[in-house]
Amino acid sequence: MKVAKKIFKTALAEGRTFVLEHEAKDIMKEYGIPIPPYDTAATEDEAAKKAKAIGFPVVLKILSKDILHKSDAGGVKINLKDEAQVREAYQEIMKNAKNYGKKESIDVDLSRGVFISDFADMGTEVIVGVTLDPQFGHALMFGLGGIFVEVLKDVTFRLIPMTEIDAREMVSEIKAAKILDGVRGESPRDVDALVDVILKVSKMVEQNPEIIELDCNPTFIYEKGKGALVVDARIIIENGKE
Amino acid sequence: MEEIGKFFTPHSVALVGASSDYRKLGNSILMNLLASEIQVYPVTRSRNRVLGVKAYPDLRSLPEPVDLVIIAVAAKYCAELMSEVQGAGARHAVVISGGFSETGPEGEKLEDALAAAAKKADVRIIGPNCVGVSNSRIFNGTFTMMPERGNIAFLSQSGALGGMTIYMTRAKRIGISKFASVGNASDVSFDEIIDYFRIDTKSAVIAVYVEGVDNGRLFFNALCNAANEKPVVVLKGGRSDVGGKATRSHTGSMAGSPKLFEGMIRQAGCVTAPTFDSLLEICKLFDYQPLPAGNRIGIISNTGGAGVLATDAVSEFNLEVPNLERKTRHELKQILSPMASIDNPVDVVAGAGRKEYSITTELLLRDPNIDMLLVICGVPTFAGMTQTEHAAGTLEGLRTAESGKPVVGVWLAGDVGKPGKDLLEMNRIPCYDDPALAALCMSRMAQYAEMHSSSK
Repeated sequence: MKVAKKIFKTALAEGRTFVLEHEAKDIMKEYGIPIPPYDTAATEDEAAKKAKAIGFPVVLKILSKDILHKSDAGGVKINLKDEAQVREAYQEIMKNAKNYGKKESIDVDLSRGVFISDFADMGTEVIVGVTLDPQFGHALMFGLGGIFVEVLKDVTFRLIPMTEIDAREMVSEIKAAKILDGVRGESPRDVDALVDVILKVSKMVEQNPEIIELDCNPTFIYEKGKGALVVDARIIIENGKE
Repeated sequence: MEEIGKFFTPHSVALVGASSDYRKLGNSILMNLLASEIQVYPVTRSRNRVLGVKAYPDLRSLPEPVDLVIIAVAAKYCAELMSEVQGAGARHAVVISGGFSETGPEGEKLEDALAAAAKKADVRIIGPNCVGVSNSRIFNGTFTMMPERGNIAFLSQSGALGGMTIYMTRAKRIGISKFASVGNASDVSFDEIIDYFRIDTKSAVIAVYVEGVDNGRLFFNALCNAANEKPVVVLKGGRSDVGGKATRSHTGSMAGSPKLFEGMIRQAGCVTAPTFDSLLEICKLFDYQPLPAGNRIGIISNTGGAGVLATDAVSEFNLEVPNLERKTRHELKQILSPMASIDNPVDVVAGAGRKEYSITTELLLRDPNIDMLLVICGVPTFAGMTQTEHAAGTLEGLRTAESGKPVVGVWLAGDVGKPGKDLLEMNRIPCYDDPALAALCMSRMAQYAEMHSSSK
């Protein structure tokens, strides 16, 4: 809980209402939410060293208070298989970020370098998100990723805080729930791990009501017994003036 | 809550804005009040008598204190009436008048002034911009009809829709215990009325029509508490984007995300009604029949086609159509025609009459694989059968079995089926025209039973 408060304070002091990726992961780690191993690096050498420590392949992402949409700024490089690729990706991300700054006429802060993460194995893609509803306050959303959310709007909500029964109902009441039972010869997915992620996110937001928006997207669910991983996390906090 | 109860159980009521002009609401309300079991004091400046009853020029002139004041005068006069309401001894007022926040910024000012004046005078108000309240056992304080007497408490955000619903309950003979339309809800809120309906011993089921609420958490908590005591069925208006916009300009409150609302209802342990018509039908089933122990349904039909349609419909709602016990099938074989289908759904075939319906109903209700029963009848007009014998047989079987399992009927054949349908409904077996509606209602009942068997 303390980790979160400190991070929110830093963010607001820097004039941003979004939390940087490593910060989001730090908060989630505090709540026991499963995430791939990660680190940060402010130089190319450091990036190479830390990527090796995490183990290849890795993902590199720009870490800057001035860039919220990292892909749009050319700030994401995935599936980097060795040190040379990591070094090259680092250079390219920095270059792209500078160009992005020029295009947007902002002075992009590059001092934080990059976020490095293990390149997680592909699992069944789901979204666990949180929104602050004007009538009902914090509510948690769950749905399968990709077209299930974007096109079919196959999602379900519960108010936070919630119970395990609520979480299990959510998982079983989306229209595409059968996909989690395993289709086309796939084995059943680890629904217990998914329920655990949902409950931990609920608890995290309950204890940190400053969070007004949150996306664990994608979250990968693996086969039964092999758990889940929140691969990408975005947290938006309120403007600080209580 | 004791406080909210006073709105529904007054001994004496004053009506400000009583009118002898049949085109005015103040006339309809007065007629309804005069037909009620209470003391009524019409208040109007224009006459000494209204509808043959002595009228008073203002609340100060009333001969005795009153419990409730109903107000049907122009919006601009409402705020100043609050101190007079207090003076007349009432702590409760229903403001029927429109012309408040639903009309724009000017009206919003009037509504704020009304709420402030009521607070200052220590008067609780329902409304403004509403149809009013009624208690089918005591009085009708609305300008719509008195509902049929019964056990369903109905809370409506929309005034006119709520009023129309009352007409429908008369036509369908669905019994209402208490009715309230809260309109703009500037003081007494949704959650307070739900809390009252929860403790009201005359109400067995709660029906809610809602578009949007100001304090969602209070609403959610009230629903949770109420659903722990009795079934709560919610119809949400403003589910589509277009509907959502209509709500905003309608009652002045914002309709939230429909999916979020749906999740909230489920989380609260309530069930949803997808349509206006089904809201009342689901409530009727809850009112008439006991809760099932599970979601396994037995189906009896004398037409194969209706049995198939019913099986399709119940499967769509995740109800199970299990096989019957060997013993049940064996006994069915003894009494039914050789052409009959003796496993679930049971087709007793067209020749079946009172005896076959009676024994089949009894056997299925006794079968341990069955949690609830759907009896379908396409009433035949041939082979000397009477219009009501299938219904009578069903009732007989039900009484003999004494199973405590819920039973629902679907009586086809329009007017030919009507006498049988009426016989069932008089005996509190809900009877529908369409297997799909029966399936929907039964699925909601199974859902409620499931939610409240594990949590208790």
